[in-house]
Amino acid sequence: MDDYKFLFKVVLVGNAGVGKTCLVRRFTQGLFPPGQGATIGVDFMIKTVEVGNEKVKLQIWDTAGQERFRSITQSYYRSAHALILVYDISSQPTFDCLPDWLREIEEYASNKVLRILVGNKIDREDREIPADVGEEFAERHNMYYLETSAKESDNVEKLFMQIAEDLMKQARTRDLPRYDSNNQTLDGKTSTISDSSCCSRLQ
Amino acid sequence: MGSRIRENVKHFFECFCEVVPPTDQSEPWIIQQFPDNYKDHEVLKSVPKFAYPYKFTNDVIQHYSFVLTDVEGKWTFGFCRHDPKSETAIVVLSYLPWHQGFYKFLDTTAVLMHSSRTEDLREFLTAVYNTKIAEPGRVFSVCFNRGESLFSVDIPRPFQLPSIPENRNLTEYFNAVDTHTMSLIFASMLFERRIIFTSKKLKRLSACVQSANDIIYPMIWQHIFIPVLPMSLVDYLLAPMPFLIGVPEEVFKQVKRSEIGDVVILDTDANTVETPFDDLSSLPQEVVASLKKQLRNKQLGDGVSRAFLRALVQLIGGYRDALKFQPGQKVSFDPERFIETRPLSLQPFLREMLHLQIFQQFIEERLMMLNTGQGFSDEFEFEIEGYSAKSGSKLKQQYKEWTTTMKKEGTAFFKSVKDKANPAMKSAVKTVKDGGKGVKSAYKGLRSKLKDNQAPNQLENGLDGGEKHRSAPNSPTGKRRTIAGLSAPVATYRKDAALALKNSAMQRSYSPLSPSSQPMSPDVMESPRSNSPIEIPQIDLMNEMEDLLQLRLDSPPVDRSLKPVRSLENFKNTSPLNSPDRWSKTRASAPVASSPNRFFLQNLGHSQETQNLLQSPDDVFLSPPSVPPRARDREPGGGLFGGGGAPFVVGGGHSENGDPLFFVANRHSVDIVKLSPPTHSPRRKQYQESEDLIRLDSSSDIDDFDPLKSKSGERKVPLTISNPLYTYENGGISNQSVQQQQQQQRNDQDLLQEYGLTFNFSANLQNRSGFEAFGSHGKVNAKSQWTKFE
Repeated sequence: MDDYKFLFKVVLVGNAGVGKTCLVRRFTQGLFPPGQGATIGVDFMIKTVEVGNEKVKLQIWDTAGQERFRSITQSYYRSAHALILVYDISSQPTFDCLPDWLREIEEYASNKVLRILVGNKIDREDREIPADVGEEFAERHNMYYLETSAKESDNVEKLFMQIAEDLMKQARTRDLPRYDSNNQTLDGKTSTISDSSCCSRLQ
Repeated sequence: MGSRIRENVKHFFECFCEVVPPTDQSEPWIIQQFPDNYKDHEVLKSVPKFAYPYKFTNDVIQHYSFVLTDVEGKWTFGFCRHDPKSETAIVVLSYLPWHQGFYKFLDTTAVLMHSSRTEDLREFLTAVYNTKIAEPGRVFSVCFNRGESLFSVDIPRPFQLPSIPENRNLTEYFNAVDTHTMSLIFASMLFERRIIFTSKKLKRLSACVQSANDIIYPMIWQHIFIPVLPMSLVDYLLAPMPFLIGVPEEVFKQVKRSEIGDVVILDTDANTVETPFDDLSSLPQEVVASLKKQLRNKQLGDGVSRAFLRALVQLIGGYRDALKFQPGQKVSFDPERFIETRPLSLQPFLREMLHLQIFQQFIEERLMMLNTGQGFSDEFEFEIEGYSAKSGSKLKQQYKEWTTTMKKEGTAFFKSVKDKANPAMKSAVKTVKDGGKGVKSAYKGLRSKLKDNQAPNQLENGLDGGEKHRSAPNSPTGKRRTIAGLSAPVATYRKDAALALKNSAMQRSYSPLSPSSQPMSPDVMESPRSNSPIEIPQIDLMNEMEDLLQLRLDSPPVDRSLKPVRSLENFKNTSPLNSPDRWSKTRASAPVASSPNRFFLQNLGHSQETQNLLQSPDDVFLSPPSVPPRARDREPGGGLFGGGGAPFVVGGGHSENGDPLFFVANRHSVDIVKLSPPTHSPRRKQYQESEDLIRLDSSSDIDDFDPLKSKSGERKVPLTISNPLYTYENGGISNQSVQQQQQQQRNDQDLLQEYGLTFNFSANLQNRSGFEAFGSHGKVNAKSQWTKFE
């Protein structure tokens, strides 16, 4: 097994066709396990990055068939560390759906999950949502904001690095249990950390 | 929508595959498939993984199912059959969740794969593939073997809760774990936890996971759903989202528990739950208390399903009070009002429940039903009415007014909904209109059953006026619920018995087993077999069964006796015998077990009445108890077990190791009787005492035990009236009798096939010189015209 200090689970949410899967594939650049999304309804990709001098493993999860949800509820991201909400800057409807996606998240402002709004497809010429509109929306809902192009690879690396750094910071400031990689007994306890825990130490 | 079952399904199955097991050097792979033009590579790539989720050895025929989820979140079901006598596994993919039907399909296919005529299999598959799927409640039937044989499956009816023992999945779940465990899992599903089921047996695993989802009806699990997780996908257990995943024990060994995080784990072999949560105690206690009470009281039939359904009625049935009807607008739901109108004790939990994906999906589906004019028409709504009749009538009035306005205004959407209605929906509506009396009367019957003495007509108030309100069978809900089962309707054994009895012209359903070699299915019955190129082994099967029986009859009395396993009443309360493993232990210590290869029954408990029935079969069946004089004279509810106190078989199922189980009803209890067929048996040709064969019959027909049948063939007394609960079946059923009877016969055949007797027989034949073996094991080579994957 990889040697890493932190494992973070990131969940992608957004309308169909906004490029969620492309974003992740671009980031992991082929380093992902063969996708099973088409047959078991959920896909995940893994990438290990280095923040400071520590190895951080990002697991990025993408559920098929989200479109059938009018909004996502808290149970959906209860065990996730970060939530990336994606829309397509060339498609007004995907932006208009954001409040629906957020409806549930808003009600739980105290939830510690890190939230990032991503306007994807900035390579497209037919932009419909100006960057400042997206940014303003993100600010209002207390989210990070970033525009990306999975196609051109713009900001993709930055997006995930940012997430890794932020989650590291959170993990440290909250002084959540961190375990040495050799410490088996403590390790066992990670399983009992509640869902809201920001990170779990794995080996 | 919320339903994850596809609509407008065109074919009975999508693809049939034969899969070669993995070796040390290679992964499992598909050696042939049908139809050749099925090209979903993602799916085809997954099939071998799910057909062999890990390397295992198999010494019994095993059926199980897996589920693939597509990008839209819709499910494709894969049904698998592993046969220890076959080198390969066979898999059929379908959009239809009809477990019993597909296992039967696989059994038939397995027989044909051994056919000496290589085209048989392909012809059968082609015929089934091209046959239009019948409407709900009807029979899907396909002729094969050049018109000599008939494959038929009953299309599940709407308004049908999973029932024990008819529904294989629920029966398996119920046998594996107790109702307390079921309640724990039910609660955890209502909190949308990450839930893992484990088992050594794939069959149990998939059945339990499927059943757990059935039990939260009218909600539908919206998250990751993997009834059997292959070894190669073990990392999916790390998913942060809610899931319900069945993990084979071998696969689970590979998992680092610390990596999974907070998860609920049910070991279905040990009936233990490991959970960091306190979900059951977090449910409103009044709901838990009444659930427990219901589960204690009634378990057979749809008792278990209904107990959970009622718990959900108590919890969320009040959504009706939060509906807003405004003329010209769609019906909508007001969450705040929903909470406010609930009892205080329920409010905290319900407030949480608003945030469940499964609840939101439930509300959307209900709104969709209302806005498309389907009204309040499924089993859930019906239960709500039983729970609070008052709010029902007022609401219906509101809804009626709303629909009237909508119609008057000629609002577009009502119409458009109609136009868009899928063909299945239309045809189902047609079924009802054209005299699908079964559905109507069953529905009415259910209603009257609950409302006891209320006149059925009274239910025709309000929105029930129009035919289209009956169209709910086609709703996603209705469809989904048909996961329940293929066999006869809810609590069938009672109803069927009544039906079959009325039909005086029919053969007794156990007759196939009798010495005169009555065929087991109508098709066989009608066809002279002389010019048939292959022997579809029903008849031989029966001989085989006779051998089993003869053997038993020859054995000393102590071995012969069929003894009750234990009373079902105590089944779940006396925990030591609860776990399936105990069964085999007890069997080992039982005296009867000391004679190997004998056909014996376990004696694990006592019910004198059952004992009598089973130990003195001749007495019971040759001089049977008198028929109940007039059932209507009896008090309601006592009818079923009333008939002079004579015990009778009310149903059948399987134990955890696949042995047949029968439920024998007494006046006060229901006993489980377990049969263990011998691994092999000598052939004999003694036909006397064949009346005993009745005890092998897993059929749930009471009429098997009707004295009038065995004596004179006259059946003047309709047994229907002996059961006040089902009096609604008195009308409009006669046209179904033939069908019911045929189905019964098919069931017999299915049972035999299920237990692998077909194949035992074929093996026996081969070991016996002088018999022409129809089973050729060189099948793999024989089908060069098939698509092959190298």
